Amino acid sequence: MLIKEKIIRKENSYVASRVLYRTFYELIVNEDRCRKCLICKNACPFDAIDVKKGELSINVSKCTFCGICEALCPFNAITLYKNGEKYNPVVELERFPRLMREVRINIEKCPEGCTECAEACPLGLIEITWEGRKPRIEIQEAECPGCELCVDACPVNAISMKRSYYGEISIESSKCPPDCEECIKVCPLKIIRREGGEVRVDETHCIYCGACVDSCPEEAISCKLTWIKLPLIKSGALLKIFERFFGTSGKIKLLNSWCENVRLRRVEEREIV
Amino acid sequence: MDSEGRRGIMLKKFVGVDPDKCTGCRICELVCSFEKEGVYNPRKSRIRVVRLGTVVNVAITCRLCDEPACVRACPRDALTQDENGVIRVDNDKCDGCGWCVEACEFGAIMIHPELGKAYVCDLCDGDPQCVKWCPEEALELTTEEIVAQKARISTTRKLFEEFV
Repeated sequence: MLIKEKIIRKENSYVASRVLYRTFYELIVNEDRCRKCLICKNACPFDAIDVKKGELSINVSKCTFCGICEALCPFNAITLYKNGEKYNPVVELERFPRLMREVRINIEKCPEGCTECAEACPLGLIEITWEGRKPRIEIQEAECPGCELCVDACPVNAISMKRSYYGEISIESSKCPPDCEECIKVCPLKIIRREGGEVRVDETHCIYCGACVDSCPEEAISCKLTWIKLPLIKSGALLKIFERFFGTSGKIKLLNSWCENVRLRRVEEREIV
Repeated sequence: MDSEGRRGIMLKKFVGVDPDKCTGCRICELVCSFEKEGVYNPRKSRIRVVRLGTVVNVAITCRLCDEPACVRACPRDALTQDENGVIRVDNDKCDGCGWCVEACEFGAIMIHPELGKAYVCDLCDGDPQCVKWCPEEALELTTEEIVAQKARISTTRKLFEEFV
């Protein structure tokens, strides 16, 4: 039975909660980590999240606390709680996969005293401490959006990671008002730069989150996700999200890749060799 | 199940593949898409070749199962199985929801990349073009009984080789 729904704004966090007779649900957005991108807004199957002009708001009466936004958030800013414990229904019932965040650093290759990757990371997730000849590297993998800036900064190619988001982005510099730096300020990865009179974006590292699209006063930026690489599981929730992001063709692509997986598994099981 | 129904399955013909002969050349995919869609596009083929490494090559298509899972899974009754065992798709009812894809054990039913409807092997009305064009004669229009008989023969032959 519903007792109350409310939104609390605390320091550094935005809490949407729903209190039922026996259970209470909380969705906490960490405002420090939240970069006001549009991924959760576009993903939410109930249109409960809205992001406008750098302000995030959640409509609690629409929200079902399903957890899809948590699974897809590239910066891991959202956390769901049930009765005070971390609980993400879609992930724990295996109806939705988590993003593949894997950063592997081959420590053997590291040249002595090098801290290039830690300096390159725009979010400051890598920490290196040198103890004699071997480095101790700590990476906050859970928050890594997979921009690959550290991969390119590494002088010895010791880092490998898995990219999750694929898409297209373009900025029409002719529309840009002079001295406008909204997108440059808001970009979480700091890959938008003003070069001469033109505003340029580094496409190879973009994660197509759409934070710049929301900030632009002239609608000069077009940013579109074309694919999200996730561990394949058969689930209606995943299908629905792909249909929301990429339309019918994305849904069909996902369905047909399931077919491919089933065929492969069947052949493997038969052990014909 | 009554005996008559069981006999029905024994006689049901489907496109089977001999994995020892199949080279994975994917000509069947091209032939199928040309016969059915008029284009050479393996993405629109009803038969698909699976390659595992370089050794295993198998072409997979509808097995015309008894009590097919895809027909049972369809929430809109768009799929039916006719008396020959072929799965028929009613394009007016199908909306491409993908339940049949999830249900199929073989990955044989797919969603058409342009139409967004389910599509599956229909044996080209009894004269499958993939069988006709297979350069290695790996594809065959067989029944379960013939496949079983072949398996028995090959096993016996292996035994014989071991003893002699």
